[in-house]
Amino acid sequence: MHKQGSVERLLAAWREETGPAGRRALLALFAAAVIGAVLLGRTGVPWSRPAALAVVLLGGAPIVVARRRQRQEDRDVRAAVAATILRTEPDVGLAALRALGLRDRALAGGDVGSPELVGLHLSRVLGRASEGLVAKRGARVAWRWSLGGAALALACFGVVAFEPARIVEGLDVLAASTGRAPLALVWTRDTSVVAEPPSYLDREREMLSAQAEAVLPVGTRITVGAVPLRRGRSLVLSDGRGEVPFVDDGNGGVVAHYTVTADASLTVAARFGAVLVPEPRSLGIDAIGDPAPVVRLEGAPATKRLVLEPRITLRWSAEDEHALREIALVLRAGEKEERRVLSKPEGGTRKERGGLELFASDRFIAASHVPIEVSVEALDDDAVTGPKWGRSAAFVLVPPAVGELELLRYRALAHARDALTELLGARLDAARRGRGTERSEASDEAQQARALGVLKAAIKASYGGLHVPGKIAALGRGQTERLDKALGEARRGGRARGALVLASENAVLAIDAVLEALGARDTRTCALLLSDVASEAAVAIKAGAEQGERERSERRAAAALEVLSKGGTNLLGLGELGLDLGEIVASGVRRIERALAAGDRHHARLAAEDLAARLRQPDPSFGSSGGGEGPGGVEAGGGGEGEDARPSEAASQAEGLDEALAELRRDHARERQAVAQALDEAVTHEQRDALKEELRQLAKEVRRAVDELPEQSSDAESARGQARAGRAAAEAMAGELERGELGEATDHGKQALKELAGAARTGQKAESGSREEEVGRAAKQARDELQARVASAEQRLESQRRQASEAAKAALGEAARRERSLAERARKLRRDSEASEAPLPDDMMKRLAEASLAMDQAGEELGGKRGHAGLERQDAAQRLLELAATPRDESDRGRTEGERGEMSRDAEVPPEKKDEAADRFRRRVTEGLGRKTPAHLRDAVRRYTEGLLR
Amino acid sequence: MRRRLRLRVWAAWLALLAFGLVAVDSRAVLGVSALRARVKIVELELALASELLAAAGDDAEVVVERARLALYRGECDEAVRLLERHDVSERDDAAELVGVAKGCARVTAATVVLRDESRGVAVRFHDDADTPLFPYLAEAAATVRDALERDLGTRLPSPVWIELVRDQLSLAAVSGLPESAAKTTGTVAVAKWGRVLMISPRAAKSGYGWLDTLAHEMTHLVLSQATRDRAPLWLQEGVAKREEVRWRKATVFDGVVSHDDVAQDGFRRGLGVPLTGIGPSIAMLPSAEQAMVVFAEVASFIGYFTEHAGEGVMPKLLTALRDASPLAAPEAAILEVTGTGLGEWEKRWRAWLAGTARAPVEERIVATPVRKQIARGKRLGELLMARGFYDAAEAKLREAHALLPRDATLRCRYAAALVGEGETLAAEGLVRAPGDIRWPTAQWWSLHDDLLGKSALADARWHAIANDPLDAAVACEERPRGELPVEPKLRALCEAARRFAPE
Repeated sequence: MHKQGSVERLLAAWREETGPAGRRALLALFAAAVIGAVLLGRTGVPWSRPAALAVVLLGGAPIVVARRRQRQEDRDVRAAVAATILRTEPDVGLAALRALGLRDRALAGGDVGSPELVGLHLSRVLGRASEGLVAKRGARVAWRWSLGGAALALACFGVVAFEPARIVEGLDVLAASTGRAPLALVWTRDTSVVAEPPSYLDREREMLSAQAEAVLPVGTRITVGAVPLRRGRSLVLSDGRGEVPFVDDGNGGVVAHYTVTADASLTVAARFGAVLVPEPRSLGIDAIGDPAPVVRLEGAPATKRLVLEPRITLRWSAEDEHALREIALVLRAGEKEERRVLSKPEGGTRKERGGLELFASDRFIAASHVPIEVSVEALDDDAVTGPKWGRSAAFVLVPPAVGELELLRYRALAHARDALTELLGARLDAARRGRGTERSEASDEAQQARALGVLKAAIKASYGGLHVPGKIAALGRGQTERLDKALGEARRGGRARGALVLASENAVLAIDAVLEALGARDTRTCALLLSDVASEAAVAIKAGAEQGERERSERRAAAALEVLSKGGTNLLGLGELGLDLGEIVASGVRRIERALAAGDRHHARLAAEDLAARLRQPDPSFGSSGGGEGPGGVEAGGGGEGEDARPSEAASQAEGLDEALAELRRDHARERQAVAQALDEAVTHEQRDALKEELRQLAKEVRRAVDELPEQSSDAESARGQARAGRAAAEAMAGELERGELGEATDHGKQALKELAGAARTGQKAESGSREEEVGRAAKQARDELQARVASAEQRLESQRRQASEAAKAALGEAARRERSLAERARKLRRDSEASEAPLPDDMMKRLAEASLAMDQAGEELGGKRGHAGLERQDAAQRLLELAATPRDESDRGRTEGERGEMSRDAEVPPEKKDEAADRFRRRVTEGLGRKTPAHLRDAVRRYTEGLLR
Repeated sequence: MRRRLRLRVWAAWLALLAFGLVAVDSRAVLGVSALRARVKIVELELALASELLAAAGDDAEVVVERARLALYRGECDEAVRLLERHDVSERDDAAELVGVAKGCARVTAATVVLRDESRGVAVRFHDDADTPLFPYLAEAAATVRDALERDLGTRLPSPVWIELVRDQLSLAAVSGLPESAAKTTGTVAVAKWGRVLMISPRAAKSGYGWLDTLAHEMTHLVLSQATRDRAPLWLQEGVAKREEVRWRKATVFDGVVSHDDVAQDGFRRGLGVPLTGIGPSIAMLPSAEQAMVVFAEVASFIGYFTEHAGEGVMPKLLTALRDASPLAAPEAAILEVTGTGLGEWEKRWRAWLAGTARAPVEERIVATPVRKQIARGKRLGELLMARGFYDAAEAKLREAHALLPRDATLRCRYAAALVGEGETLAAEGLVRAPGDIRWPTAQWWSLHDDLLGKSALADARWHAIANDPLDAAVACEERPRGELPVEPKLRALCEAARRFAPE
């Protein structure tokens, strides 16, 4: 109970009225602030959290203010007066305030009276204040507060009731850490997941469970469709690294497309600013990448020395899960790389295989002096991550050092020369001791056989793909035959023993001479190669001036120096010039290495350039008469005996004979061409046209004659089979007639008659009334008809030839004279060969003799105005001349092949229609079969080409 | 006011004129310096030339002379660097030098240089395998220098630079001599750029007289030095030919084939040329044979001249040539020194040559079939010996030797076969008498020394080395493989000779 005249009484009345309403209003305000803060936080923007906190604080602040004000009123009477009676009864309130002022002064010792008196005055003033008025006003204020609080409470309720999930979302977002909300929420329903593999895989679409684990190829397109539970959410499909937004599917749902690139866990989520709120479920994806094609190279990895294996067979296979696009042979040597397309499969080929052969003479290999890595690579058709190459294991081909093969060949021939020298030495020793016994003669024969065996082996051998040149081989065979003849004569005794010794001497000197020439030739060839290597060293050293290139440059230079070093060592063994240049290479390499060791790249480069310049001119270091005998020998003009005569002219004579033979061959071919042209031009256009028409008619008749004959047969020996062959030959005849090839036409006609006669005979023997008998009869009839046509063709041919020869008689007369002159040249060549130190082998001499005979006959025919007969003899002579030619230089052949950059592909002929190359090959063969071929060679050509096609 | 202005204009004109004069004068001074430096370079006073050029500025003309000096010093990289300066490279005289400088830089890069400071000799070896030749070169060069000072009155400065290159291509590159000309005439050495440039004896199949060649080329250097490069070609070559054997002890073979005889024979065969018509270089004559005749011709003339003009004429002639006006003909110096002109001297010499009525030079043309027979016998002998058939080889070589008995090479092969047979005495007889051969080869000297021992001609081994030092038999004193000479420098030479020699 408060006493009358106290301020507490008034306060109590005020609070009794306003307290409950005020508390409710403040609570409502605070609740509204919290809800506002949550909604603000739900935006997820970076500043939303501090803003939400500010709102909450603002909402709570009135409660604190109210509490503080209440305490103030309790402590301070003036505050209490101001809060109560000053508003209800201002006069009383002001009086109370004045009384309070007096009390304060009295208490401070002022002369306003005693404190008790002043206190009594205050009590009376306060006592005048109406408690009822205060309570009345309090009730009014409380009403207003209650109204405000209720409005706020209602608003809060409305916000929450409208979409309570927003409050949860807001709270979830506000509680997020590292951009991800802690509480997973469900955003969608009726979720569907469809996986569509990349089109190049050619696989079906697949429905997936939204919560399962799926194994999918890289590139698979996943389509997630769903119905959102709540609108207005920014839904995304997240794989943890990135996200794809859902878009409206136009059917009340949303859809998102995702492409698999790696393993992932796919989750539907809602994005609130920077915060992602995922769903509790997810789809695990195990991504399967497209592996590169698998390429296998039979026998690889392996290292092969080309000296021992100059022909490397490569059998490869390539496989890809989907499709192969390209297969290539890859050759790498040092910094160089060359890719050669082996195949370009089409139509989704998944497997491919093939084979090829690489030769030591291949352009790339021959030009590489460092080990070569050979592999096969295949390219797939991966459209997602891009095509990938798969590579096989590699063969490492160790090429022969420069000059290594040449040195092997040189040594083999030197060995043969030494064997012959020993034979000669033994014979000379025996001659000095007097005529040998039977036993020593037997031993002599055996020794000759051994020596010639060594020579033959040296000539025949392959030195890592390098062979003894044809001219030298021919010379060797010629010497062998001469020695054998001399030995045969020596067996008969008499003075032939001396001839045997002389033949032995000649053989030694001939082989020695060609050895010297070959050594010099090989030295020059190798020196030029080494010159390129020295230039490469210079370039490499120069490139090393740049710091970034230093390491690569050192590798290149080291490789070049190694090649130079080995090459130089090989040169040393290749005779006089080889020794000279080999020493220079060794010296050059030392110079370069010395400068490099001293870090002097400039001089190292210059030294390499100096060596390259020297090797580019692979001549003897000293090229004139210095060093000869005599008192000169200073500065210039050294005296001496001058050039020594050569001990043997075998090398130059072999060269001369070869050239003469080649020239004869060329001249004769030209001559034959001239005769053919003269005969051809002897027929006028009008005559030719008339003849063409006539032959066309004849061709029709030929076709008609065999029209009833069977076209197919499985038994070549049957009447049907023979009739079929007869028909084919007759049709060939018709074809030749249409082309105007009368000679070939009659040949085919005769062939057809022969086949048809056989068919008729077989048919006669067949059972009466049988099909065979019937065919035999038809064949006989066709034969009878065809016989007349063939005879007609023969007559026409003879007539045509006679006419042509007659018309070209002047030209033929001239040609006859020239042909006889060529025959004489052939005979002279034989005589020269017999007289030379390098006689041609017997077989070549024989062919040359036959060729000269054929030329004589051709001359006779041409002189007798029998142009075509002459032409035929000329053809025979030309063939014999070709056969008499020295075998081609195998090493040169190899080089030419290499230069063209071609590879032998005879390891495996591609099956029909496998690819374009195979088609082209077949076309060439077929066309070749259809071309005009001399009659006597026709069967051989056909057998050969058919064999190829098989 | 107007007067002050005129004064100012005059002052400006005067200043400009003064500047122009100074500039022109300094250019002239610099030009003279370059010219003086060039003279000093030719006189091989390289230090002085360097000083002159150092103070001569940086004009293109001066730079060219610096490049020339660098070439004389063998500093080819420096020469290239100097000549590649833009304004320098456009000059004609620079274009002439730059090719040589580049060739020289290439050939001399990363080579080995050995010096003998006490003798004042430096040798650059294109092929480091030739370094065992250095002691012989240094000793010979020092001796030749003394001999030339004695005969010509001028001493070569130290060091005497010798470039021993590996081949004719390199010789052409360092000298500037066209390679084709070097090949045509068989040039083995050139004196150029103050240095002796010579081919290694390794380059020639049977070596050559490399030490006499050194003397010959050093004579050229002295003549250029002493006459400021004004000695005419006939004088250069004649004196050099004379001096090439005067530096060492004479042998019984010196003079066996007389220059006079060869010259006379050359005139008879139409190969001789007038002294003043030799052309720019003997090395550029059309053939080796004509070069040989012309060498004999000039040597014969110089022999005649020194004999008839009195002792000491040569130093006087060289001095007269040096001191003569650059525009004066060299012949004037002869007239000044001897009182007789060159034409008259040549006339007298030709008359003397014709009047001496010596027998013609030994007939050297051997019929082709015989030459072929000789070549067969020689080669068969070599091949048979290589396979150990000494008896058979001896028979073949005996036949060949009988066809050309005075040929030292055949004689040596024959002797070697006899040695192989164990017929040492017979072999000794073959290489005993110098009169048996027309001219000795290194192999003859070597076998002579080996087989005759103490009764051999003096310095036989040295003469063998002086002709073909890198022949394994010569350098190794005919010892079998595995055995080495005792003397260190010969031992080194033997090892170098055997390094690449075929077994």
